[in-house]
Amino acid sequence: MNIIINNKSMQPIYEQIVESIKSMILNKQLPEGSFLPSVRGLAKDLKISALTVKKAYDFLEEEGYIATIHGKGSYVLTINRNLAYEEVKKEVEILMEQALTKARVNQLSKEDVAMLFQLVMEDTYD
Amino acid sequence: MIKLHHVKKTLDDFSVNYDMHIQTGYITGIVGANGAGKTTLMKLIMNFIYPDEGSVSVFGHQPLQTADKANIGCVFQNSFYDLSMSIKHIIEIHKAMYTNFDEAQFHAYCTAHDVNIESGLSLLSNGALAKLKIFLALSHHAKLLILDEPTLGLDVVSRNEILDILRNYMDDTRTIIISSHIASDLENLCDDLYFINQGTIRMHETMDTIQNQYALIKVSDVAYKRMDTSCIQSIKKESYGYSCLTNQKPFYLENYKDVIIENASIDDLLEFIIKGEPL
Repeated sequence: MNIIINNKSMQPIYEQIVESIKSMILNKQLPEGSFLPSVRGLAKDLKISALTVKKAYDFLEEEGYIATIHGKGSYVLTINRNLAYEEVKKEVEILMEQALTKARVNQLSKEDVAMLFQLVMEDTYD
Repeated sequence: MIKLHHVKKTLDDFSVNYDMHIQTGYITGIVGANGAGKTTLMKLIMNFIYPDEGSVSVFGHQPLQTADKANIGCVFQNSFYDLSMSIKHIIEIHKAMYTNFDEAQFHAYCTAHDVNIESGLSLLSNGALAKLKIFLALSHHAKLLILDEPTLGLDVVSRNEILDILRNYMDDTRTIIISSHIASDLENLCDDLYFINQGTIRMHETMDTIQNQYALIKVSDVAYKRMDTSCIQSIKKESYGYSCLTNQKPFYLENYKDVIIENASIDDLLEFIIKGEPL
């Protein structure tokens, strides 16, 4: 499994794992029904504690992305794609709000913000 | 797996006081400076020395039974075979000592990690000797590994090679206790950590908690005076002001966006334990 962990990041490692696996599920890199690596196996690959991986898997399970069969491992559940899409949209909205608040607090003009948005948009969506 | 219940032991002018519970399926790291009491702890677990007070139980037996030793693999710093011996001699000794010594597995380790099995001990490099010690400890399918500074004196490449071997050995039925005064070795390996200093446990946390909750905050004198220090555990005076250790990283990340906050390494924690001023 191709997960890259940033040990220096302020984002907790379990969250980084959750996000990576979620996006792999959403873009079908991890198809429904496929098994995730074992907790100890992923811990070994990422060189992190098994407890951290366990926490990430527990979180994904709570959110309904995966299920765990005791003794067999965790596998990807059938997810409601519309729901997942809406959830991501919500997250993006929050991030945009943060960026706009920073712009407003520092008195950036609406025009400049709109221009920046266009620029970043073109950069990322090509 | 292992319980030390209010264990006290005095050795000449040094005494230790341990209360700990080491769980099955965990890699537990013992961190401490030289002379902190790491080896004494390992010896107490192995029943090489006996507690003056309290009790040590291993595999549910108190103290460790001789029969259980077949399920333990250990590496101690200054104890090994005479250097005039050859690896072949040692294989014979281990076959006689451990009924479940897996010679094929031992050969496989040696071949995979460039240790020449035909060699005499005196011809091996320090790195090869250290690896050999570990391979011997791993070759009888032990449920418990007790490793006292297994990476001592090795370069970074050999150290990481050994850590990878240990990661591969680990599963949910096995338990590893490993000490090191090179804290970074333990950072990417352990699940649970005990910090000891002067014979006492100064901190016990999971690696997950350390990564999520602990942080180093660097502030000027002025900023320090304005900061809420209720969640600061310990501080150190620096030329620029103070470095502070907290176990509430999210709180400071959320409320102090303009100060420098770094993830705390095990080395940082150890230094704060030894040198920091507790608040």
